[in-house]
Amino acid sequence: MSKSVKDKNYSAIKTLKRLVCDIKPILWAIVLAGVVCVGSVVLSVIAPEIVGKITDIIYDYGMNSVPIDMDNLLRLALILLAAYGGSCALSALRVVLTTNITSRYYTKGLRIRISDKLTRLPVSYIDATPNGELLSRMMNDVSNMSNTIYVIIDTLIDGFVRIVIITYFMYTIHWMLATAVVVLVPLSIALAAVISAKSEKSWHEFRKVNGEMYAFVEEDFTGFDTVKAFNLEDRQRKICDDISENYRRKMRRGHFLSGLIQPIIAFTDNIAYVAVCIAGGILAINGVVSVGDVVEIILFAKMFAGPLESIANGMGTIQHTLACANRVYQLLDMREMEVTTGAAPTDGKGEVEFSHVSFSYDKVNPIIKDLSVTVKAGQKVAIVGPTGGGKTTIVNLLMRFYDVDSGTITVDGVDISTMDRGQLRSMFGMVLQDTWLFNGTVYDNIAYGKANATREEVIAAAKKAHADYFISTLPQGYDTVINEESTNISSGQKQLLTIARSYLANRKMLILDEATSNVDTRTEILIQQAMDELLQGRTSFVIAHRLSTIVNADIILVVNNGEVVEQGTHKELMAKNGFYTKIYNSQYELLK
Amino acid sequence: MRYLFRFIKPYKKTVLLLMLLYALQTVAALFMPFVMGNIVEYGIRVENLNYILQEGAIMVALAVGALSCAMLTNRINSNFSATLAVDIRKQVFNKVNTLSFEQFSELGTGSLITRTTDDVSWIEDTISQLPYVVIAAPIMFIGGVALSFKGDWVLPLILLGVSVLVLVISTLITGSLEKHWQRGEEFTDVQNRVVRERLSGIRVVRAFDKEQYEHQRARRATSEMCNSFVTANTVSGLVSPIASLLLNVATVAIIYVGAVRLQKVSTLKAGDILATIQYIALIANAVLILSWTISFIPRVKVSLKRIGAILDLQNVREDISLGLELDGDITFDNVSFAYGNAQVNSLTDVSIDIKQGEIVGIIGGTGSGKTTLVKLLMDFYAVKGGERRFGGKSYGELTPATIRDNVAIALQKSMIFEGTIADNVRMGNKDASDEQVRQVLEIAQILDFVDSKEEGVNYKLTQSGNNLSGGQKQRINIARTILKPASVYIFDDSFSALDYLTEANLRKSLNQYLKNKTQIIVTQRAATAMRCDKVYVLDNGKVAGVGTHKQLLKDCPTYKEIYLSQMGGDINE
Repeated sequence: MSKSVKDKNYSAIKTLKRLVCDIKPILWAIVLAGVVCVGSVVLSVIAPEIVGKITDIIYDYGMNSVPIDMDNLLRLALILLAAYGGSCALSALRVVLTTNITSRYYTKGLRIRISDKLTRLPVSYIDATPNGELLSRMMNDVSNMSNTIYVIIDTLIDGFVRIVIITYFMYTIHWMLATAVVVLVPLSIALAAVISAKSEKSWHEFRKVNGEMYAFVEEDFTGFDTVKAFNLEDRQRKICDDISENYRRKMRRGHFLSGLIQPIIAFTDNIAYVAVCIAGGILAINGVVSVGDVVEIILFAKMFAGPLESIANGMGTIQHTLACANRVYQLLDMREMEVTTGAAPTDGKGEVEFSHVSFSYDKVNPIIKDLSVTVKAGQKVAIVGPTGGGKTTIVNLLMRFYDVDSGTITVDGVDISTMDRGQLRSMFGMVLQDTWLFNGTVYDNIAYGKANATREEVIAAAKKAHADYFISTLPQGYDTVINEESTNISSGQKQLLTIARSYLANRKMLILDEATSNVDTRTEILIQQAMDELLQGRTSFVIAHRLSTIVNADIILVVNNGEVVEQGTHKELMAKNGFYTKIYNSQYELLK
Repeated sequence: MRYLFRFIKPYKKTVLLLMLLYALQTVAALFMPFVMGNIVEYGIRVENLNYILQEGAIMVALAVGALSCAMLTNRINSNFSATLAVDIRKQVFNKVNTLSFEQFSELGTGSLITRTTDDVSWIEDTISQLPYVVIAAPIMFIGGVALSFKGDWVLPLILLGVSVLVLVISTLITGSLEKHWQRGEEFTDVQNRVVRERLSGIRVVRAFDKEQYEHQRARRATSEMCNSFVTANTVSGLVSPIASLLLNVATVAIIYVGAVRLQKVSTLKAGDILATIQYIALIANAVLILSWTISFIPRVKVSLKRIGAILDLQNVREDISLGLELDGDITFDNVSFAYGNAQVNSLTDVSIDIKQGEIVGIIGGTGSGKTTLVKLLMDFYAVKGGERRFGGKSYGELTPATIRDNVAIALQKSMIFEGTIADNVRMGNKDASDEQVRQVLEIAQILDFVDSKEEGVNYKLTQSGNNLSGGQKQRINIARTILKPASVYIFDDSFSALDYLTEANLRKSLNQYLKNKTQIIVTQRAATAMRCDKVYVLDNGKVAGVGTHKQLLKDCPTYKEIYLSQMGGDINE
């Protein structure tokens, strides 16, 4: 946490600059909003003057029985109406402008920019960053940022314009009295700014607790069955109470401090009012100023409170905006994948060669050390070894989710690090242990494998994956919507759907990473048959715990501690009586 | 809205006090222009310095009074709104934890999260402004109107008429916005979900080269959301200028009509008109605040509805642990079950008989009903037919909490909570000693890993255990399970991410540690099932066979098929 605070201070200026630069495309709208603002402020300042004139007429009638000139009165009333009408129209225009700027340019615009950014971020970054963290930047930070920008445009600009114009009008009346009022302004603003900074700090803390609360709720609800199974309701309630208490304290403080601003400004304003009355009274008695001028200055002095309050509130907001903007820009500035545009070989058969490949996730602990292996077209390669030994890493490198540290991987003689990633990946079909389905129909989930697939193709793929039968038992068949947590189908069924998806995609090569670990063996055999059919003449990489899946592979790579410790066929490896034999026999350990 | 009252009810006294304080403040605010007017009228205009000083002192006193009153109010109100906010959140959170599984999945995890967080936040924001809006604004309004009913009835009537018109228009305009807020909310959910899915499936998305497709999906959801919110925000933003315009028109009308009537009606004084104009400002302020609040009502209503839907759910049955210690005997007699409104049964006529101390395997293919059976055993769901007994007692006599007290289960999905390894393990038994924690970690074959960390058992696990591999999560989950004192231990596919060697060692020490306890092991691996005393073979929601490995191999074709397919036939060599 201390680090992020330092980061914040360090980059506050930078973020501000960035924020200002970012305004360029909508500068016209902001300027327009400013102009509109000036217009409506001028009108709202003029209006009281006219009201003053009218009241003078009425006053003269009441006090001195001067007859009312009804034509003049009507003229003034009409002017007043026009001023109010204009002010209303301008305010409406401002609302439309500000809402559109902040919602469309900031909320929507930034989210789309982040979404676009996600398409170019390396998998390594997404792996290393909790999804909640990315989501909270894209959702919470962006919406906080645009809400605060709304406040800045709407109240801060308005406040400043108002103060400038009111000050100008006061100086046209009398410089001495005007100065008396204006001098009190910085005092008032300074006081408000101090409170506002404090309240902003406590809101900042509040938001941190709020984040904790969010994470806790998410965790509890995601682990609902665990909570129930272990009767943890009381434990969770206690944690919730603790976080809540902290939340309550921070919130109370935030509300209290920001609630102070209004009364304090009102107070200083009232004091200023009295001061001007007294000073004005003395000056008027000594004949330095006219009574009318004092009255008008007093009226203007009264109009200072509103804009001062806006500015005080707005100042706290700027800090908040910067904090959010910083997090958003950090994400937008994240290093992207290097673009490679080389074409993938189109006529090759799928020969894959690893040559002296080394790789490490953290650049400290090597995961793959000097791996060299040649896979001929059409061969089935099995990768076996203990958990954490680097099996999945080989897939990560082959698909270029990560790039090698040294060495080369070639497909049909072309170095994959020169290829366009999309083209490279389109050569492979992939089924992972971690089945990924989205909240959509079964049909859509299978069709994900191929753009514009026909219904016949989708059903054919499902049949091949032996998913057709279970799909037909679902309430709405292919149109059954898979729910958010995919809990309405079993994990084995999920795998069948992802296998169907890969069938539909019909790629040149296939990667199966524990693809059938949750499918029962009978179904697996059926799938295997269909797969063998599909794999006919295609290169495939298979990672499996179940050794029955791999015994008939053309090459078995035994990976342990980042090295291929053995490679060969099942028979060759068993003959060696080495690490593979040990793993193979361990499954019968259980039988003893 | 009735929920709001329900939430506020326990704070009646505080609310009354706040009302009083706000009333006091408002009266002071109403009185202030009076004094100001006097200073100008009888002080400055007639150049009476003494009067200015005297009234100035009153004014300062009033200002100080208003300030201290505001401070006090602020103190009480911030405490009140924070306490109430937390209160609502706790109510919702605790309610969710008592929901049945049917109710929970009906609402959906994602939606429950947003309801407990975002929707509650919306209500919080409203609450802090509530006392002011409900009390100060009406007092200001009524006080202003009442004070202006002096001398003439026509002018205040204009004022009153326009004010009512403003409020009616605000209500009408903003009432039409409810559907936009709702639509916006819905697309916010969609947007969240689309991005969440995309991030969690990043490899699949990239493998199918679908980044652009996903980007467009997110873009569409964001645009739809934005359109709804822009409409709602713009229209509700227009309420305030329109209200101002109407009130200003009223001002002009009052001045003009006032001037006309001044010459006809003798009771009307010039001062009354001037006073009325002063009060218009106050009333306008009150009306603007009211209309502004009205513009947010639909948004808050949506949130209140969403929260109310949770709080209104009836708990199917009371779930309090009876504190019984039950023996580990479990029998199911012809149990049938179907999820929700599903047409097809997930389990049909399942009968099992498990005795204390037995190690029972449950094996079967995908979707055969293994996990469902376990869930029924845990009493997560009520059965549709048949009879369940635990320790000789019918489930009907027991509560779900009582049953869960006597069962420890390692669920299929290994849930890791944010906290240390020890925290996670102690969820099984909060009173366990450090020794016991280390012991279960050792049995779960994960102690080496724990000790390899500098912090040992205090090693921090991130949310959902992102810094652990699948196999490590499973083993922590197992350690947690066996730490819990129970008579029945269930392992639902808990060894699937372990290699055979680790599994063999784990099972060996497990059998020692759980001697005389009932163990139920749900699995797909024949190798895992065969070391059990008794194996139930499930197929398509029915029991296809029961017996020892040897018996089943002889009598149960389903089992034999599973076994042979996994062993690749080699075992017979």
